[in-house]
Amino acid sequence: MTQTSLIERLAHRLKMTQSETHHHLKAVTSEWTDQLAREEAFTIPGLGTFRTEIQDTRTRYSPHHDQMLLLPPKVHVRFSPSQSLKDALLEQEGTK
Amino acid sequence: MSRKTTYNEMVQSVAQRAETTQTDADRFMRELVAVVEQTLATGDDIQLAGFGKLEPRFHKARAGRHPQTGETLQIPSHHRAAFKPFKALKDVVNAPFLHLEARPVQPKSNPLLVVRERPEHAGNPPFFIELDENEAAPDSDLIRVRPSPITERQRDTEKN
Repeated sequence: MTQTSLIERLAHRLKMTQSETHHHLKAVTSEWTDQLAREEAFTIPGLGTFRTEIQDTRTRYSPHHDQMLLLPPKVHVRFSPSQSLKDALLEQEGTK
Repeated sequence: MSRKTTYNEMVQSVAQRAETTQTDADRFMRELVAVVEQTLATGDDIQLAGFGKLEPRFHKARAGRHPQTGETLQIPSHHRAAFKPFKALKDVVNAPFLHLEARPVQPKSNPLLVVRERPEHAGNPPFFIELDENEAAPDSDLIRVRPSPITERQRDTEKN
């Protein structure tokens, strides 16, 4: 589902205009981004937990350069789904 | 990860950013979660511009083990909600390291590693990195005893 169809659906459910919904959705996603940029984790009830993980500097062999390279540290965004979201997916499939 | 933001703090910040009340911000986030849950359950993904994509990812059936009783059991194939960050988000969270680039390391600069040139590869770039016999392995990934396939291929093309 693209962001446009998500906005249409949310606007219909919340009885808001599409531009208002877009404004709200932008506030939500930019707030989530800022939280992760500050390396702060957060949990959204019913959805899951977003957190960041720092991968330290590491040395790896590069087949392209045919030598060992020192790779810079990297921040990964991790997501763990909440139990209710996991259950919703399993119930839909009939595996639970 | 030093700190965890509570849901209430999140609602407050979203309300401030969207210039709305906390009740409205809370209602909006709950509806968003409901739509995400319904969409993922139908097998569709959700794209949040500038943030990332939430998608149901397929996991094939596998044999598992009951953590308490120890008995083996068959875990059926299923879908699990997964998140894939977009480049915009990856760039923002990686901002402190974006100016850094991968740089080559000379194995000799690491006192634990020594390069031994084998007679049959004399004159070629030293791609054999072996541990000094007296030293312990710092990281098993650093040990390379096979010649690089690329170097082999280059050598073959040069010959031809």
